[in-house]
Amino acid sequence: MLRFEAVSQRFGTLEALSNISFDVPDGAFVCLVGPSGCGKTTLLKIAAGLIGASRGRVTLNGAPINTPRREIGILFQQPNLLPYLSTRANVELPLALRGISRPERRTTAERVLHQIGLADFAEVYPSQLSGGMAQRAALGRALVQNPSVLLMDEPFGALDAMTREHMQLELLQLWQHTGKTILMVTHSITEAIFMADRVVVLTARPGRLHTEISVPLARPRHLEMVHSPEFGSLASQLRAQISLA
Amino acid sequence: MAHLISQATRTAEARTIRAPAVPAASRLRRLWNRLPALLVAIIILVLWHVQTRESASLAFVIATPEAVWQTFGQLLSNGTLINHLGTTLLEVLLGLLLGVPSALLLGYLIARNRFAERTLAPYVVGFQAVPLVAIAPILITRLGGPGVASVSAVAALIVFFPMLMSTLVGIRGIPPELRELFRALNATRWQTFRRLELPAAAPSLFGGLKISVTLVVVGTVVGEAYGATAGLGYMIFSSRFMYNPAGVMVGVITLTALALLLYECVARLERYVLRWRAPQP
Repeated sequence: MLRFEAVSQRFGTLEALSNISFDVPDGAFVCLVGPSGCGKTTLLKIAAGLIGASRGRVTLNGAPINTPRREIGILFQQPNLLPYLSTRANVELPLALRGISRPERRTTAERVLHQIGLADFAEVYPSQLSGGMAQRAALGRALVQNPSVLLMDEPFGALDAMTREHMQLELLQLWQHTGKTILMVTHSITEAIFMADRVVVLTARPGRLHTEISVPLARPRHLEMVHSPEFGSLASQLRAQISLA
Repeated sequence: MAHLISQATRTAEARTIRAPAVPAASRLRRLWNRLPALLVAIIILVLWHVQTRESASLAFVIATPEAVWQTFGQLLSNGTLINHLGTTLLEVLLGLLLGVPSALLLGYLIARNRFAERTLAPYVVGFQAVPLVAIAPILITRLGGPGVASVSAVAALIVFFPMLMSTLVGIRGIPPELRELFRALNATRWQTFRRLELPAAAPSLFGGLKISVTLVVVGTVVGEAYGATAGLGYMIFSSRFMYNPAGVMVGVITLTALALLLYECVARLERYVLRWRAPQP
């Protein structure tokens, strides 16, 4: 279980996050929404061990997270691929940095490349990948260490609508097959409802926990569900909460 | 989730992949592309010819193209040109070997360390404004008098600044998100240098190196102006002293050819190392 325990963050005199506590149970899909600038990204970086919280802490299965850990993968809005490495080498990067031997790296990366549908593009450089493919390669890089938790910061925010829907469905499939715990920041109300078991709403600066909404829609989810009245009422409920936040 | 992606989507996404180069008629095209540069050379030769024709009184200053060609053959056959070229080449290589790594090291230090930046940056920038011709004699005297060693030091000095600047630009231009990625992956300092900073700064470093290999040639000439007894710069100065303008021109043209050759070497190396860059349309 990923647990946020009274997390607060200050940058100088600016209070970014204030006393945030919530849990992400093992295998859950939780979305984090809130007005722009409420510190969602900061919260995610604290959970990734990239920055330390001013007060409070984040724990994974009881152990506090102070530095980046292998069991926690992170995916940013931009793919951040290294332009001078092939897709394969980009996916292999976390393993290479851990000093894993080339043949072993190869085997693992090959499996992941198949999983993300980029096996045919293994030798291609990032400049030749489309936006969706690049983000998929970034996902592959996060998956190659087989993390139990995936933190995602608006991972599909920079993609066009069609690619975005594709990627959402693929991510849900991946999640259901692997049972990973996912915490995803999003700007999109539709995306939050469509993907999550539970949506955590933060308030505007300083970010505080406003409310949590559970999403009782059936799994597996289909694109048509977006048009169901049940989905609509959940979306308007969430929208109302965000405007109150 | 791999097989969820339809073949159609894949093909659509593959559209960004480069089409194979067309081999036919590429040779003719390359020649055609070089034509303007060749035309410029011809125009310069014609202007030069006309200039020397019309001002016979300047025969001590300007040689005719024919005289230069003749002198070139002479200096080549008696081994003088090769000797001087050899000395200059040695100085050029030593100058690069001395100047480039030290600029890389100091540039990296200034880019990554606030204290080093505050302490050193003003001097490095200020030093660039000091005319090389003014300090070259001091340097040469301090380095055991004229010779390959001291001339190489002057040449190293001239490449130092452009190389340092390109290092600074290259290292500082690395996107913070990529640094964050390396931190998230628990990369060591050395791994970050080796797998992020060095390759990410490479385009800028090659820019600096291209400037450096042409400037280093100038550096050797400046160095040889103070009592040297060998090298193309020495050949130019002594020819001028003996009112032999053809000798001056042979030296100048050889230096130019050397700079062009060095530049081409770096450009080829760059194309190979930076082959990941998208092909220019």
